[in-house]
Order: sequence, then C-alpha cells, then structure tokens
Amino acid sequence: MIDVTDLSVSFGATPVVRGLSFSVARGEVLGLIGESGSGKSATALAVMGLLPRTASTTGSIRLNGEELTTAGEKRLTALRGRAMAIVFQDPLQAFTPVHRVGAQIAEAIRAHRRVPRKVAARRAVELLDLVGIRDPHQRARSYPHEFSGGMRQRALIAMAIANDPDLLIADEPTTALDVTVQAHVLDVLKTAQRETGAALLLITHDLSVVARAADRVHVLRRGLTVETGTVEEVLRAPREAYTKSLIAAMEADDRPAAARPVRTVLEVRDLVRHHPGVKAVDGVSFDLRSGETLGLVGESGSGKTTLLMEIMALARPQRGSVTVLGRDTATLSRRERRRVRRDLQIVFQDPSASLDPRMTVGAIVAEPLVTHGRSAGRVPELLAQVGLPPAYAARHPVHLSGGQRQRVAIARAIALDPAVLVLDEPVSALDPTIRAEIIVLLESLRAERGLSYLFVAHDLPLIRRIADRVAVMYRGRIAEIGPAHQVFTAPGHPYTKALLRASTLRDDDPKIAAGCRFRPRCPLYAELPAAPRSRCVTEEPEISGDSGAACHHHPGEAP
Amino acid sequence: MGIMVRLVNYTALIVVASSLAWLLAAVTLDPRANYAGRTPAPPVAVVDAALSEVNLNDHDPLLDRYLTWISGVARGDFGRTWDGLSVGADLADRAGVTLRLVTAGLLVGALLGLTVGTLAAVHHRRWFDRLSGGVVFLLLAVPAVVLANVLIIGAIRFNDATGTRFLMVSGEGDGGPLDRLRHLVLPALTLALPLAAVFSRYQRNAMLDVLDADYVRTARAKGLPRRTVVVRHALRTALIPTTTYLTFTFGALLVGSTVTETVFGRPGLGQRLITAIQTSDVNTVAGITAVAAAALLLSAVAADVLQRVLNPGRAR
Repeated sequence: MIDVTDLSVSFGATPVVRGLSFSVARGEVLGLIGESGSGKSATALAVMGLLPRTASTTGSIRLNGEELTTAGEKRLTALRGRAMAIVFQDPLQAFTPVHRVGAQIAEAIRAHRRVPRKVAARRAVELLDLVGIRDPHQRARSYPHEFSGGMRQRALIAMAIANDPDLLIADEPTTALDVTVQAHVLDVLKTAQRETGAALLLITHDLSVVARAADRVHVLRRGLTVETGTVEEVLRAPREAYTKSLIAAMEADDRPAAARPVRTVLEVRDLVRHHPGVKAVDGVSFDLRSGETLGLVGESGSGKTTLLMEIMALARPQRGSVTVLGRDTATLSRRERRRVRRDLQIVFQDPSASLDPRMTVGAIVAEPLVTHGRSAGRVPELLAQVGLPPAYAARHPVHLSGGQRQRVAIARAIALDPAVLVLDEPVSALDPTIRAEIIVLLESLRAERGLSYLFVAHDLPLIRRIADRVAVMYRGRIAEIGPAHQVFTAPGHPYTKALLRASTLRDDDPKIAAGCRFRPRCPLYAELPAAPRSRCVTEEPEISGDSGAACHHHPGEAP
Repeated sequence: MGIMVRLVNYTALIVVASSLAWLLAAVTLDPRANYAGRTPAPPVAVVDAALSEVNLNDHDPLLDRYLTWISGVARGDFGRTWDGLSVGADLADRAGVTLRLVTAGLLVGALLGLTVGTLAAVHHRRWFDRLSGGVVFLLLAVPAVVLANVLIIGAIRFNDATGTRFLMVSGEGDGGPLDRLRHLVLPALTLALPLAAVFSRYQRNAMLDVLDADYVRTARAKGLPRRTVVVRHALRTALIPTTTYLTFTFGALLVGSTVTETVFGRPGLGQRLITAIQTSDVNTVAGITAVAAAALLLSAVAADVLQRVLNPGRAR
C-alpha cells in the first residue's frame, strides 16, 4: 500500500528525518512513535506532499506503486483526500472557523467526485453518524467552535474517510483530548479504518495509544529509526535503551508514602467562582499540608485553572474562603497580601509563554527578589539549584530549550523561599525524557526545602508517581479526594474509575440544574434501579471529611 | 445589546459630539469679524441685529444661543450661516458630493488593496510581494496634494493623447451620470490609491496569519485546488479583521477628504468645514460634526453587521 524507502527530509541545513524506511499494508496499523523533533510529523507531511517549500526531500515514497516524491502538485492534489487522507492533531484549529462542519466534510467529497451538493451533504451527515456524533443532521449545521474537542476530532476522522482513502494518516489524533474521550476517538479511528480497509499510519508520542491501536511500531528519535517490530515485541521486550526509557516514563509506581508533620499551609473552604453562565468553581474544599504534594486532576473545563487563579488572587472570593499559612485572604491588607504572596508562588504550563522574551534569565530570576526588596545576589545560587550553569544568567529565553526554560520558571518561583508552590501542568509541554528530569528536580527541591505542591496535571501516571494525595475535579467540584494509593487502587467515584481505566464516557454532557452533576455520563447511574436513582437526581452528593467520593452509591457510602 | 438601546445610545452620542463642537466653535470663533473690514463700517446695532437673526451674536448669552440651536436641531433645523443661508440644505447638497467621492474611493481602494494584499501574501517574499511592497511605501510617502497633481498631469496627457476630454480635473459635474463619472475618476483615485496601499498591508498580514493556520493545511489535505483553498478558506477568514478596518475608514473619510476636495474643486463637506471655520460659521461647523459623528456610528453598525455575516455562529 505505502512504501517509504530511505526518506530524508531537511529544513535548510537541518535534517529532520534521516534514512527512514517503512511500509504499511492494507488493513494494517503502524504506530510511528517518538518525541517532538523526532521527525514523525515531517514524515506525515512528506507523504501528503504538504511540506513547506523550504523543505527538501530525498528518497522514495510509493503509494500503490506510484512515486509521490516526484509527482507534480496537480497529481498530488488529486491524490490528497482521495487515495490518502490525514487526521491532524489539535482539532480546535483544524476546521475553518467560518464554515459549517457538514459543509467542510461535503467539500472534501465534492473535491473528488462530481456529485450534487445535496448528495454530498447527505453523505456528510452519514459520515458524522458513522464516527458516533449524535444527532448528526443538526450537528452538520454547527460551526466548529460549537463542537467539543472530542467531537471535532471525530468530525476530522469523518472528513478523512469521506472518499474511502487507501492510506489514512493520524497525526497525534488524541493528544489534545481528555483521557476519557481519547479511548473513544481511538475506537472510532479503528472502526473507520476497518470500514474502509485503509492502511493506517498512527503517529503519536504516547505509547499507550500505540499499545491500544497498532499492529506494528516504529520508534523514531531525532529523525533516525531506533527500533521497529510488532507492538508485542517492542513494548514487552524493547532492545534499545531509548525505547526502554520511553516505556519507563509511561509506567507508574506508587510514590512511597512518608510520615510528615501535619501543618496546614493552604486551606480552601467551599470556594465558589461563577462566571456569567458558567459555574467554573462551584464549592471546592481541600487542605494542603506542609511538605506534601496534592495532585489535582480533571478534564479541561473542570475548573482546575479557575481554582488556581482564585487561590493565587489572594482576594476575597465570591463565596467560601482561602487561608494561606493561617491568614484568611479575604481580610488581608495590601501590605499583608504582598507578604503572603512570597509564600505562594506559581509555575505555569508553557515556559515559552510565561517568560518575558526581552528579559535575560538573570533578570527574570532576580525580578521577584528585587520587587520584594531583597538582593539579586542569590541569582547564581538559584540557577545552580535548578541545575543551570551561572553563565545562563546572561541568556534570553529564546536561546534555551523547553526544559531549561521551565527550570528558569522554577528558579523564579522558589526565589522568595515560598512555602507553597502551585504547579499548573508544569511538564505537559515537555517531551517525556525532559519531563522526567524536571520531575526529579521538583522532587528534590520539595525534599530539600520542605515545599508543599499543589500539582495540576492531566497525566495520571505522573500524578500517581509524585502525589501524596489526589483530588479529582469534575465540573467545578471535587468528585473524589484521598491518599494517592487509595484513589488509584480503589477509586470510589465512577468518574475516577473511568479516568483511571481511560474507559469511554460520552463526550457530550448537558448542564445539570440539580442533583449529581456527573449523572448524564455516569455508567453506574445508567444501571441503577429507579429507587436509588432518585437520590442522584435530587441531591448533590457531598464529601464529608478530608477524603472520600462525591457519589451516593460508592462502596464507602451508606446505601 | 438590543437594537433600540443601541440606537438611543448612538443618537445621544451624536448629540453630545455636535453640542461640544457647537460650544467650542461658539466660544472660539468670531462671526462679527465678517463685518469688520467693511467700508463704511456698518453700525453696531445693525451688525448685532444681523447676527442675532442667525443666532450668532456673541453679545447674546451663550446658554440662550445654545438652547436656540439645540431646539432647532431637535426639529431638524441646523441653523443658518452668517449670511443667512440654511445650513441643513447646504450640507445635504455637499454630503451627496462627498458621499459619492468617498464611496467610489473606498470601493476602488478596498478592491485594489484586498487583491494586492492577498496576492502579496500568497506570493510571500517573491517578486510580486516585493514590488507591491515598494509601490505601497512610495504611495504612503507621497502627500495627497502631490499625488493629485501627478494624476492631473497624467490625465491631461491622457486627454491629449486620445484627443478627447474624457477626464475632468475640476468641479463636480452636473450633466448627468456620465459627466459626474468623468469628474469623479481622478479625485476617487487620489483617495483610493493611498487607501489601497494601507489596506493591502493589512490584508497581507491577515492573509499571512491564516495561510499558516492548521485549517488551511486541512483544506489542502482534502485535495482542494490551491485557488479554492486560498479563496474559500484563507481569504474568507482573513476578511474578518480587514473589513472592520475598512468600514471605520469610511466614517473617518467623510470629512477626511478635504485636500482631495480642495485640489479638485469639489464642493464637499471637508472643503466646507475649512471655509466655515474661516467665516466663523458656528452652525455649519457643528452640523458637519454631527454628520461626521453619524457617519462614524453608521460605520460601527455596518462593521457589526459585516462581522455577523462573515463570522457566523460566533457568540458575542
């Protein structure tokens, strides 16, 4: 079906793919795995003939025996979308915002077949139905922003299979999605592939995706093939050290629980933050104790970020209270607030966006010190603590790698010797091996300085490895909270169970006025008899005490 | 915001803007000066009576004059010029002259600018992009007066070469549509070329942004021909920011075409504003301000409507 031989791609003088060879047969799924910069996306674009003009390609790409590297633009246009199709990542941007989803799918059909508009529109609705979009007639008339991430990804798959392609390329098809929706989308992708009998080239950095969906796997690193084989062989018995480190980065172990002095450094009680039309945070309570890491997990839109911003504001919340080191933030004077701010620092997700590009590393780290009237003389010491040579103080963020930038962000955050560090997805923008290094750094800083972490992440294995306790957020409330080993081994809330097993949940959920907010998606509720059900409809479940699950029917709760 | 609420707000804004203009003009301008140079000098009482007649007498209390003016405006009467002509009728004629000029200039400028900008973005860093960039900066560097005169010289050569008198360089024309068109071409171009220059840069940047967007890549991956991708996906989206700029330009141009109107001797609003200030016609100044404010707010409405059309389904 597709034969790639000795493919090399370079941008200017920089090689991105070096001597790559693989083939995918009809009905087969090949997983192409690697970190960013491994050349996997460049490979996909090379096959589609969509590389930017600045790229140069050598080697051979044959689709059904036809050479693509030398094919003209006209021929490629005819092949794209018909013989080969691609599902891109980041479905938010993948649809033109001003056209209806159905129209964009119909356009893909009409690009290759002379069919009347109406026929194409009807086929688009069928395709949306095929990928599991409910109410496809109505949904075809929606605009892309009216779809959830999972629905957009499905719609992209629908568009890709519109003309029964021989080769289907999926470039990180689940990366931008929440765990519970990922599994669903992978299933849809596999179904679509089975229906069309296409060869599927599945590009991802996520080994679990490959384990779930692929027949064979091809590991790439810096444009070179590391190893290749069936999924079984490579995942069970990796030959290369690099593959082993990838697998190790994926697997989770419980963090050893340690006895700690109990002092509450951050206390949040019934915190509420409503935006017009959205109850972003709707009654959240938890404690963070000295020296511990509290992991906060939840899908996008569950209110994690709003919660952090409410805490960081150090102001009077709409309702409820935030207490930092025994001081209620609602009653702070301006000067006291400044004082408390030293004890509560934050590290953001994307270090390239959170560091001022015009400032040097030294100035960035010195800024909090100077602002709070301290000497900037500690900068070299702080850089050393985060594992950066002192000479880096003179550099600008652009000249650092992603991992180094995050180290700078951490150095800035610990400059004022805070008691609490809020970490908002601190490693999710980094590659797995870099991620591991930053985690090691954070762990050693916590141990040395007795820091407390409020650690937000959507990466569950990561949370399992580093958190003492875990809070699971759903729709502005905590669904479950408790010691990490308990939450991970014996989850009490059906939502936590679904998250952990990455099992499928419906990805559309209507707003709920009263009762349990998880009800519409709850697999447990779906199977309950009528009598116990009524409680879910009328009564919002609460967590009493410092651990438990907000579910009327979990094992620990009286029936 | 409800449409009624918006209309009320806009009307209030127009009233405030023109009232402020009236007050400023009434305090600083001196209509009495129009009688100063006469020989023999007219008696003070006569001058007072003449000025009071048209509500321009600075010896009358300011508040009384303002109330007279604003109650007239409420009835649709914008007052009189110092020599007794109706401001409303005068401005209505001139607004038509300016409206034709600005509409033509804006349409030509927009079409030219959007086309050049789009092509420049599609051929980013190739000869067309570089050439159009050079021409744009040349046009922006040349003052309107110079451009107008260059066009006039060009038109005269054109007329000589063709042996006709098709292109007219002065006045508005009154001999029917064709005559109006002959008088319109040059001033419209004078307005359109610098506008096209600015628009093309806006459009080029907007296009460069969207040409790199993921959805443009998706459109290509569907197997759409390049032209379709550029027009239906890239251009269509890039028009959203550019049109807002375009519409507001219309409002600003209505009194901003003064130089062009003066060079080509077109009796329009911009030109009238200058003469009104020279002859201390407080009411005319305020009236033109009212027209300009109304034009700007209409542009805001038009921008809004266009946004809804171009960017459907977007919640606001």
